[in-house]
Amino acid sequence: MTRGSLSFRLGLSAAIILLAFLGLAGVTVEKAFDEAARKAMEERLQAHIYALLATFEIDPYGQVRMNDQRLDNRFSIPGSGLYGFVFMQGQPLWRSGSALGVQIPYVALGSGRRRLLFRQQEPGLWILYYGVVWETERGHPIPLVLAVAEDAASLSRQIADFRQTLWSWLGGSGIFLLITQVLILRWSLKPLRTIAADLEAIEASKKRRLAGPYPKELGRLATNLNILLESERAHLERYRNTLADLAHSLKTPLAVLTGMGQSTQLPEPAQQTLSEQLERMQHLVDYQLKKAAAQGSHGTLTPIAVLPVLERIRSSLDKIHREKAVVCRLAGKGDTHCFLDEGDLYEIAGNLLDNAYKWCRRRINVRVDVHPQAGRRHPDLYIRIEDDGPGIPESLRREVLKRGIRADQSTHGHGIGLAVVNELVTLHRGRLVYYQSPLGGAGWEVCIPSPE
Amino acid sequence: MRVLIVEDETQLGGQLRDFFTAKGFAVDTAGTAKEGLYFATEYPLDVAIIDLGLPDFSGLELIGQMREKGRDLPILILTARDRWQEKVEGLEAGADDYLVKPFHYEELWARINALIRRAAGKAHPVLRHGPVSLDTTAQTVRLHDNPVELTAFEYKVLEYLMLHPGKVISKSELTEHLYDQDFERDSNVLEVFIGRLRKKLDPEGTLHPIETLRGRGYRWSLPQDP
Repeated sequence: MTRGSLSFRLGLSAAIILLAFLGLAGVTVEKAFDEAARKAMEERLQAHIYALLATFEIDPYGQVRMNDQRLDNRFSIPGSGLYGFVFMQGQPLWRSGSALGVQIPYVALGSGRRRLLFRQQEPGLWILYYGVVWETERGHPIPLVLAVAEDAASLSRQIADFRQTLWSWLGGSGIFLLITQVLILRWSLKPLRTIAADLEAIEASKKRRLAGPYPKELGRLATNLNILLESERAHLERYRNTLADLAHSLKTPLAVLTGMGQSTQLPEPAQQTLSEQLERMQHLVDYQLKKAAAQGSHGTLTPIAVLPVLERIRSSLDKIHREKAVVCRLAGKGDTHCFLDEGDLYEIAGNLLDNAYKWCRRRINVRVDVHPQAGRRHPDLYIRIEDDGPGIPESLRREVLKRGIRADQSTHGHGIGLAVVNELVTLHRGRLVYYQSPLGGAGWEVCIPSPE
Repeated sequence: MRVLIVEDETQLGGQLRDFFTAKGFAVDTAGTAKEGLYFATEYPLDVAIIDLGLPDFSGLELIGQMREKGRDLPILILTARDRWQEKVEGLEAGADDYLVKPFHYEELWARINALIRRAAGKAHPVLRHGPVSLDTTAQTVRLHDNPVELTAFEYKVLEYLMLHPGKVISKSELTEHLYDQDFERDSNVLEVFIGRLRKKLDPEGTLHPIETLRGRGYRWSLPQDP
């Protein structure tokens, strides 16, 4: 996942939103819980105060009497965490048995008023004060402040427990959601990866169009891309046809000029120049034409049976070279297929066999083999063409593969046959290798690797 | 020899006509396949040169139709299309050879000669019949290894006879193969040529290479060397 990629952007923003949401939710829940816990505690303290009030009595001597049995027994255990106090006019009038050594500040309150305080100093205490006016038996009103304090530790512990539970759940679900999100992201971006792979396949000429199926949102993109590809292909086709038409239509005027150049009406030097220049033009036209045709037909997925093509070429060449009575033997398995464009296969085999027919004395051997390659669906194709002619001298072997060089200056021909074969074979990532044929003459090995 | 040229490019057609006329051929030129088919069916042709890209229908179809009509004369395709697949298709349609434009006239000449010889069952460019040898490529004749000077028409008559040894060839067949359709056909001229040939090839009157069969025609009587 690189920076700036779609999945990075989507993943990052979703993660930020998720974390912010979970954080806010956590804080809100925590606050609400705090509030609720405080409320609950206040109510509890209030209940204790009512309980105190219910058991409270002042005897005629002004002494407080508390019926301890009716109270929560924590009031009587020292250090239990629950303490009760009664103040009269700022002076402590009574304290519970548990409140031994516990001091709380006095807060003056009117009758019926109450106030919750938190005492910071150790031990932290939550204190609820409640003001009442106590009427004695004689009808004397006595203003009192009752206070119940509870150790804050239990509340804090409760809150801390809750907080821990809350955050671990939130964290857990956060991680779960993040993972889910990554998976969803991968799943929903999968069509994009598919379309990218399909485009790569098109580029490598393994496919002709985006076949899908793609989700609806990408469907239109794929359709448009297909239209673009199609028009691009049509454009290329038109361009190639135009080029071919141009080259072909140049050939007839060239033939006319060549004919004129060979007539004796021109002076010798002019004739020489004319024929040289015409020859050059002719080579250029031929070469570019063949190259254009070759490049256009690069890559096909339709398998072509190799032997029938070789047989057709052989019978054509037999016809042309009938007097020579060449014995051309063709060996190979009948079901050998290759993934070249048919025209390219004709061009490669035709040029090589044509040379063999021109140069052989009597015999030509052609062998078609396949060598399976590990990890590839189709085997590599090998075509070997051997003749019993004079062969190609060492010094010329590299030259003949270059454009426009003709080793056989004496024989008429365009002299670009081997160069075209070489070009075509290279275009298909193959090799063209010369070797000494067992028949004594030239041997050419063409290797065409399978696609993929 | 009578050649048919089917080529829609008039300039090239004219050039070819001039070339073959200069070589002593009778030349018929057609600009369309239909016209070509007419010539092929109506005239006794020895060889045809056919362009593939013709205005009415393709040269391949023309060749196919000619073969269907039983015309077995040698056909050379002369075309700008140079892909091997096209060559194979052309040859499979019934053509005997294939030459790509632009071409050298020497090459066209060599190939046409080879086709004519092949049609006559002679593979070698030099025909040897006893003391007479005729080189179809160089268009020269030798008698006992001495060159014999012949005019173009004398040569053509001799070549035709020697390509069909032992066969009776009527005057009309000879004229048809040697003259254009618009040429004045005068059998007396032919007799003059035959007379001159006899003098040049058989000055002593011992060889009798050309027999006259009254009312039937002529026959080349020297056997071909093995």
